[in-house]
Amino acid sequence: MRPDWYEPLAVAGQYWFALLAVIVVWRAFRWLRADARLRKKVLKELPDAGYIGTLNVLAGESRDLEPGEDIPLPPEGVLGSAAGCDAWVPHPTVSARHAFFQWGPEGLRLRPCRDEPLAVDGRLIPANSEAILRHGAQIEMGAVVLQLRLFAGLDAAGAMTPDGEALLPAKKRKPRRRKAKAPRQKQAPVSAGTKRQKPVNDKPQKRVPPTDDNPIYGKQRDR
Amino acid sequence: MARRRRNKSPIRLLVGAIALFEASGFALIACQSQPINQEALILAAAMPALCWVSTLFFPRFFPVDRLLLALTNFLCGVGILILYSMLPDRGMRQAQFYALGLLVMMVCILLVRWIRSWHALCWLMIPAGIGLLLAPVLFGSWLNGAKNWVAVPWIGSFQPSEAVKLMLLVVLAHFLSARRTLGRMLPALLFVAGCLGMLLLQRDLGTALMYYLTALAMYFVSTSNLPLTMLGLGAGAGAAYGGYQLFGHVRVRVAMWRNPWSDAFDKGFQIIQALMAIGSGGLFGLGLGLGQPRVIPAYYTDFVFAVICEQFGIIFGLCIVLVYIALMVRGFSVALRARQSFYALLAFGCTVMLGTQTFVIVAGVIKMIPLTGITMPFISYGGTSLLSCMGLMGLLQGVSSRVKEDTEQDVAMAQATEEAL
Repeated sequence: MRPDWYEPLAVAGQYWFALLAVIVVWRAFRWLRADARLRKKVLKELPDAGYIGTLNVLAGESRDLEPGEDIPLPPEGVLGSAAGCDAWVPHPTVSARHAFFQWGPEGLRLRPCRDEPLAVDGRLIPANSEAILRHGAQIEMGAVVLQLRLFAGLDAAGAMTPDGEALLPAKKRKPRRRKAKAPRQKQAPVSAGTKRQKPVNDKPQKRVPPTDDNPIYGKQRDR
Repeated sequence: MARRRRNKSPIRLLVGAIALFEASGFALIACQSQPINQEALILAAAMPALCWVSTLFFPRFFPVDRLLLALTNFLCGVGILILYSMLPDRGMRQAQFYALGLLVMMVCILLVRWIRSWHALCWLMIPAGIGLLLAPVLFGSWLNGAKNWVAVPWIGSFQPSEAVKLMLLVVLAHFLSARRTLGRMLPALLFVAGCLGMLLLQRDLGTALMYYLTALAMYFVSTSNLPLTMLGLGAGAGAAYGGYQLFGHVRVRVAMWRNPWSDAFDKGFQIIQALMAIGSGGLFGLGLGLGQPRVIPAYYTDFVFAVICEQFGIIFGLCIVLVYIALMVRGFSVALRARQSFYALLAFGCTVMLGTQTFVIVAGVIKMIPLTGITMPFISYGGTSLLSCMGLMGLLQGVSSRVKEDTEQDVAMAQATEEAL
């Protein structure tokens, strides 16, 4: 049995519910906006966040590609001339999807798509096989020559310490069990490779263009 | 201190508004009968408490995305409230599934965070998914023109296509990520084809549409292959036309979408009643527990959006749609920030699946597209649907928690660089 006063109460309640719903939507979108601002700030201050390094163009010129240009390199993806590739090399002698790459504990794994011609440090990589690239390795695809330049602080072989020493030989893969206090250090190699860890001397790395004395490549890309 | 307080306020106000909504809604329902409904009063205390604990207290110990969790809580709260106002038994049952759904969500978050290699699991999921979809074809019974339910002893009836939804997302994300050759993608594409075939045998065309659009979107995002995607879209349109020619109930639904008044007392009855309910609610609705929601067929499942608009009003209905949009914006944002293609694709797939499901049912109810019988995520009555949606949100939250860690590291690194310079 519904009491008489319920109906006016329920009708009045509608304005209350509408107000609460509007507050929920307003706060949610405000949150999203604040989040977008934070992302923008992070991108502005650390534009290479999420990348493991760059591919520097040593040779090969086209309308959209110039020698000396840096191609940002994510931890994994496809290398090729198609616009959708993760590392875009716009050159007529490079196939639309030329090679796959993936960051691992031992370095950057590179594998040609089908039987696309691909050479690493002058050695041809046959189809269905892969090469492991370290800092400074040269990739030849068609008329384009690229040099791999990894960011400092990557926890893998081939990456450089802040003093410019290569971390060789490859570090042994750590066991998967985590310690309670340091969960991030024992993650999968690929994700571990994406994080720029703090340098050994506990000071953040100053990103400077490479020189003969300092072989660490740390120049920030322009976006 | 003041700065810290200001930073905390967005979540507190949001959760406060949600908790107030749930408390006042159930308190109003409790007053609906004489003597006062004790069960509704318990819900008036329990639902806000659960929302508060899960959104504010729990994230201190568990990696969750508070915004996603708060909005999910709001949608679930609306669903349970509206169900309880019409059918108290089913409302209580839905509340139990909601609590269970929070557990499923946690499990999915942990899976995403803990599992390093999904390869073996994906190969297990493919036969398991096909087997689950085959079960209703073999053992199910026809209900509303589809054969998509299967009765399980001790558990009751459940819809396998809801569970397979999660498997499909994981399998697609795994096989479409990293080395994107046709040979590597083939298992996922065959799995999608197998699922669609099973769904066609079940005549569950709404779910098939959802699966197909999600798979196509994930394929396009993964490969950027526009010609093949357009070809797939064309093939989907062709299949839809084939379904129109082949299945009688599809022809009826299209005819009723074009002109429901041509058969207002039979085939077009449900869509007309839904439109009348939305219209009679006006901007602010008739009032919680008032109106005639039971006139609409399937008022607590497919047409729950019409009931919400009738009781709470069109403004509230619009807010619900905006909450879904906010969930989608957040999901796409998570996908864009993910560092690995598997996680990016998984987050993208979850978001597209959620968006497609919401669009298909809401647009069907307001007569924007022909109606297909699928549930409204988090709101419609249905344990399997709610659990699968919570699982889907759990996968998204798992990716989000990984992204959050990466972002925090980036911010720390940016601050350290600033200090050093």
